[in-house]
Amino acid sequence: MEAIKADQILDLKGVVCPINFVKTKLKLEEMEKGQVLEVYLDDGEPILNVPRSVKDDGHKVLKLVDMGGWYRLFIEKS
Amino acid sequence: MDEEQKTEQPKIDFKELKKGGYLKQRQKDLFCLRIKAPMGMLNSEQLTKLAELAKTYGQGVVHLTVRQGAELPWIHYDNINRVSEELKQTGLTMGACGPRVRVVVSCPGTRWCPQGWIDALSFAEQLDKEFYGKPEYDNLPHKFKMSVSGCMNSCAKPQENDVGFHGQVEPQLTKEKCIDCNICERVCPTEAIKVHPRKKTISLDASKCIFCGLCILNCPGGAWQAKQIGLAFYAGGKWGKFPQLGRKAANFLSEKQAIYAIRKTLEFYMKEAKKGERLANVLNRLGIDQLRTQIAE
Repeated sequence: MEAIKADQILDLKGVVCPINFVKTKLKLEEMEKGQVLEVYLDDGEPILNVPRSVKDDGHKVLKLVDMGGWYRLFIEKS
Repeated sequence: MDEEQKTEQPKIDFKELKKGGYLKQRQKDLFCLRIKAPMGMLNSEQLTKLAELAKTYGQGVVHLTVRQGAELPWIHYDNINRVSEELKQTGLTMGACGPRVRVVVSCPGTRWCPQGWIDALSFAEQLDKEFYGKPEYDNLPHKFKMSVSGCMNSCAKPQENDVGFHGQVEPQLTKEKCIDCNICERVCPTEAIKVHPRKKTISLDASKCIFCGLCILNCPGGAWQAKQIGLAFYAGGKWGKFPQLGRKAANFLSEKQAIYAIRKTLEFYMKEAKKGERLANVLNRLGIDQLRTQIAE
């Protein structure tokens, strides 16, 4: 896997849907176009909801990394 | 004199009343008016009218039914015609009871749900036009219910209906567009998708794919696309005292094929069912293959 460098990190482990997406969205709004946000997400519902909602908002999902029980999601702000 | 007047009074035809969605309450002379709200849609004018009528003629309450209708309880039978007329002015008609095609149930589908694969509402509307209140389907062996769901999540519970549909999609991969993010592998509920990081390839096990479309919905690069979208068709679901789920009768039907399949199913049902028998029980007796053959023709 090629390493992706994140400009910001948001730990959303233990944060339920849809609050995790809203927090991701707010963070992305603060960032510059082209910057990368790394989000930590729990397994289960968050993985089925957050990447898709981010995509629907027009941002670019770069990578999902399985950390065993939780995930690192890399998003490029559009 | 009194006696004579009583005998001259027209009898209430309960059967006729029931057909039209007028349900006799357990309380003397009171009726519950079952109003048809196709696919659970009521506009603001209709909602205001319902509220007014409930306040004026009922007890100020409206009951929402399981099949997306609205019921006005506590209406005295002297007021039934008046209430019905007022409902008509806003385009509201009565729902159905008894052994006939019932109001079609539907989820929002692609109209606003992020999960939907088909425009469930417009397909359900078509079914309503084709099958609801038709004289040829007005005297069935038993009730006949239909439901449409936009996707496999089956929120409108198509498998609990005599016939039911949900949207389905077959995925296909354009490898050049894949950005190697791994999301599809994670979201696939049946582990049909495998990412091989070393080889940088993705494989789809077609025998495991259930056509839910989560890979397509989640794919950030548009590498997973819809090869075909269609309707999964279930037959013979029912609730009641002995519930059972409908069985899959066909995959990837077009809307036109689906309407044809319902016609064939109704023909089969009217021919084979004993009076008072639901489609589920007919299929239990004869097997679903007989129906599948009829549809396939």
